[in-house]
Amino acid sequence: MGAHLARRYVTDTSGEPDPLRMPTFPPDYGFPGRKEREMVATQQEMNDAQLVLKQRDYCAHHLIRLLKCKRDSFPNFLACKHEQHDWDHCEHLDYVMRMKEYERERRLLQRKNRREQRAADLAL
Amino acid sequence: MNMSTPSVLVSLLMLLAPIISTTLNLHKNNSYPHYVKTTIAYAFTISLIPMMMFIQSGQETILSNWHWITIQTIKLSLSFKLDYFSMIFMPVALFVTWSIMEFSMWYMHTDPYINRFFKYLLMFLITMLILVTANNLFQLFIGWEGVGIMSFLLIGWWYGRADANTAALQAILYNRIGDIGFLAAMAWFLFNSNTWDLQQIFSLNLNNTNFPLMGLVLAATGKSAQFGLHPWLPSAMEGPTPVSALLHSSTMVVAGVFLLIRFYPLIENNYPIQSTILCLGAITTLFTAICALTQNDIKKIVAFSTSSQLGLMMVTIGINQPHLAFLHICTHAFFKAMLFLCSGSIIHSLNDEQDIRKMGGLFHTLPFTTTALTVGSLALTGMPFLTGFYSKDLIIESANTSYTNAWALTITLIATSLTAVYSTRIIFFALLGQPRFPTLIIINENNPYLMNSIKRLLIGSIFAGFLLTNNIVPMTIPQMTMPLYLKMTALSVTILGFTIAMDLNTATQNLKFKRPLAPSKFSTLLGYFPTVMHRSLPLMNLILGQKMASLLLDLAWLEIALPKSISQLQMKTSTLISSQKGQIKLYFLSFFLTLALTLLMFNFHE
Amino acid sequence: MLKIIIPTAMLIPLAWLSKHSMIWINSTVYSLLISLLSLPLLNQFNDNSLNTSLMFFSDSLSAPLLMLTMWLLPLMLIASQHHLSKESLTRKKLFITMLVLLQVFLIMTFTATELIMFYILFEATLLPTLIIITRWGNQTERLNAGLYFLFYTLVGSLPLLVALMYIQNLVGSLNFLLMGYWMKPLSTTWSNVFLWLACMMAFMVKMPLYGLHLWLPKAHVEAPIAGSMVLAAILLKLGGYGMLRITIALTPVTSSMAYPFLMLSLWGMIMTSSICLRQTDLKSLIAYSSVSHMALVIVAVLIQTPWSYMGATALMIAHGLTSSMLFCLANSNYERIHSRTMILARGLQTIFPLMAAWWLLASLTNLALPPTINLIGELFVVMATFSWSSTSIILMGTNIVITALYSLYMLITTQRGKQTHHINNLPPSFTRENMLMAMHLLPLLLLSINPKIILGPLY
Repeated sequence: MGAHLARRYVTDTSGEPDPLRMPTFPPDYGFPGRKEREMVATQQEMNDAQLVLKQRDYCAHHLIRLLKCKRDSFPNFLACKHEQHDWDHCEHLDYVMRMKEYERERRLLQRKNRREQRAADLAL
Repeated sequence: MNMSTPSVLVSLLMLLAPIISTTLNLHKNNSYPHYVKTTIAYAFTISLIPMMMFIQSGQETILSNWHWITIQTIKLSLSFKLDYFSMIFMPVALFVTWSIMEFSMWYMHTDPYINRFFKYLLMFLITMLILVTANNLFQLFIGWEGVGIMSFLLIGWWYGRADANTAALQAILYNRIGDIGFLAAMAWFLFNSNTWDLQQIFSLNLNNTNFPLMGLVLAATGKSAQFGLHPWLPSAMEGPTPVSALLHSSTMVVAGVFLLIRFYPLIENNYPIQSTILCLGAITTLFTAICALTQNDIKKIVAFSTSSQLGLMMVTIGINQPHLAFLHICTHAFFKAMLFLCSGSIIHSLNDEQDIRKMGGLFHTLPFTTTALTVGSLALTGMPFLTGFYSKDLIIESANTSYTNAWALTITLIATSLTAVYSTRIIFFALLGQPRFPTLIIINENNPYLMNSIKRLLIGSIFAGFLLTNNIVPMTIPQMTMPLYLKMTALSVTILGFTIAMDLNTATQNLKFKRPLAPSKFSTLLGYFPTVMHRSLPLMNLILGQKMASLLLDLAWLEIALPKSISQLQMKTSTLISSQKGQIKLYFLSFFLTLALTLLMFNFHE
Repeated sequence: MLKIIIPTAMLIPLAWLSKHSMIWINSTVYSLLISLLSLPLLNQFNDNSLNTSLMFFSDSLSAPLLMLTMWLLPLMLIASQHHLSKESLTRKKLFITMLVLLQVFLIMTFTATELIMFYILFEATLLPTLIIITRWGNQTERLNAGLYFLFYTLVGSLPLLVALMYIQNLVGSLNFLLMGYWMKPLSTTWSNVFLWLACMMAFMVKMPLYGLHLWLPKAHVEAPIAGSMVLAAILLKLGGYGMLRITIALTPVTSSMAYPFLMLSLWGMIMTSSICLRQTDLKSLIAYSSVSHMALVIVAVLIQTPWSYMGATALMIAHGLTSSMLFCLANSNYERIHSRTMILARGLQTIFPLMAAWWLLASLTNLALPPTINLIGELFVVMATFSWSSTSIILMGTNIVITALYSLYMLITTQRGKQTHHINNLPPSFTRENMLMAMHLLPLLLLSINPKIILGPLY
């Protein structure tokens, strides 16, 4: 959340994960009973709603609902605030989740680095 | 029956009617401007239908008609792409142009060629709409070049002025440099994807698209006046104010950005190009904002602010938010057109005075223009809930939260802050304080053409962003999550800019700097760019043309190599031979010898 | 084909037997009628050619050029009216005779089936042109120009005669139609290299290739308007036509021999364009712009791809009409200002608004504004060179930029700006002149709607 920008330039960048090539650790590493996230909207539903590729995420069902609502109450563009909020909120949670993933990745990377360092020190 | 496509075509074809009517004798009356204006107003109304239908149903269409030519394997036909971008852009462009046309009825009413002026403006708009709706690269190129040529004609409208002509030529020169990129991209697409149709290009999984995209970036740099090819934009202020308004709001300069938005399916997979665009945009937005700081010509300030906003749009494309960049194009069109119309109103009222140092106190005499100018400036700086806010704030936020180059981000933030500075400067010098214009000028802004056009854009500048963001279908995922300090960044840098500018401006009334400082010189002289690049490069080229191509090669070496040397040789030999001594027997003998030898040779030939 | 050649030849008696008041009208109208009647030639309905006899044929490569030739005769007649108005009747008739003679030769050149016949007529066109330049030119430099014109072309084309005889011995026929089938691939020996040079050099001088172009600006500048028009519009295209025809016979050698000439053309294109930027003489500027455009055609022909051939043919037609129109405009300036120097004729837009519109359109077509056929030609050539070598786009792009610059520089200098003080008592532009420009522009616009008829046989 902005912090990574500063870190990338100011401090050590060796433990900085690349967001474009994440996760490098197995998802259930340290979470034994971790379940996979559930995708609510089906492929068929998303196809029918003609969602662009970018929008086909875990919140797509909210978006589909929002689009449907917008279409139903068409001339009234102020309607559907609830649906809008639901979608935004879901996206917010998703973003937080991703940031947490990022932080986890970072910490795991740093731990890995630390361990390797220690192993190297011991080996000496 | 789908109403969408016929109404788009109707609103496009309608615009052709006034141009066709000029070939008949109908246009030689005083109502031609009115006729053009009304046509555009109707076209706007009709183009609302497809936009509303698009908003409701989200249906995108490609129209292909009139097969023009098939060359080997490539088929070129007249085809229109009626998608998100063109459907929304068309009403915006038409609305803005409608107001500008109405304004020019006031601004240009003394011009003897007002009919031709309106025709040119209309053609300018049409070429832009061709560009926006084109579905293949060739058609896009028609619009692209058409926009360039029409801008040449319009910038050089007052053709008696040498400055206007140079400015027009400059515009064409920089645009043509950009065209190299466009042609290169066209050639590459032809070579590698065997098509110029956009949807086919996008559906192919092209790899290594660096070359064509660099070409397109070059094209956009030329057209949208990005850093390096930017000097034509401020020079283009030599044209009449309505032209500047049209040029800077919804046509021409946004064409480059629009081109990149059109090609976002390719750009979004190409990170090197994204960073190139990002850095280019960031440099542009900062550099031109700095240049805007010390300008005294009101139109130049607004022009540089356009350049700066274009840089911001490029930044937005660079952070992979093409839809946001497009939204900024649309919102920017409203308030930028209005800012130009307001400065036009001021300039016209003050008897063609453009220097902000010779204005002042105009809020008493031009209350309406003042209101509009203030609202426009606030919208430009991103004042909450005005039009600019809805796109600019989002852009800054998504830049802040994106995984991006912090250097470019910092530069963009500084430029955002400078936006507030130069906007304050216009307001402070032109509108507030003591009147500094000649006292004998009679100022009157109560002309319906002027009032209505600015009023319409004023309403647009306040509400357009709200309406657009609420209506259009979300095409990306908006970035909603960020800490408070990032949320407030855009606003706080703007407020910071306002405060500093206000303090500095007040300081100028009390304090006097002895001599201009180096940064001030840098800004006033536009970063020494015109001085260095405009003097040295053309001079070098022209000297090359004269000395090397013309004098050295054409008039000297090539002449000597063939004609001169041959004639020299002939002269030498002939003088040698003609200086004979009259020994007629000897000559006949030699003649006889050759004859005998020939006969001998022919005899022994077999 | 005789139904075109004989009426054209009969224009000579028509001119000599007409009354004084009718010579221009008669010859113009009849030549226009001939050109309109031969319009069906453009309809090349199948891939083969229209073989009208053993001597003459036309296919989709020669038909547009033929049409251009025939279209240009009435235009030349219209354009020359003013500058001949002070001449005596006999001289007028002689002038018309020369133009018609040139026309007949050109028609026969473009339709000849035999290379030898093509060669003879190719040389025969020199004579009327030479007479037109040296007899009706304006200044004494015209003699020098005529000399350059004649000797460059003759020296260039004499080796062709030898080469043609050699090919005749080798293949047994010089028929264009048969050559494609009969010609065996040439081996790359030194003698074949010289054969290639001999065959190509004649046309390259005619085009002209950069370095061998000196005759062209001189001839263009010194020739009377009709001479400039026919030189720019058609005589240069003879070179392109010849190259397109003869490359069939020289198949594998071209691909290796082309490189120096490609380089020279690409380089010369930039050089001549930059010369244009520094020209003060209007006609010389247009002449140099012709050299630069023709360099594109040479490049296109030497690259030898279908796209480049199409580009070359389209560009030849487009350039023929455009440069001829520019020469007409320059001439209409010259007839009023009595000087070709651009700086002496500024700000003419105020005085001749309609002329300014023609100037604008001519400049725009010259800089290849889409969707004119000039653009189609240039675009195809650029695409073809790009696929040949992607770095050539830099040179091509530079040339495109400079072309736009000098076209608009010409427009701005002559039409825009303040008027000069010595411009007074100018006669208004005549309907004749406006019609002349319209007749140049109309084919350009109409061809833009349906460009495929000028794309040549490979379309």
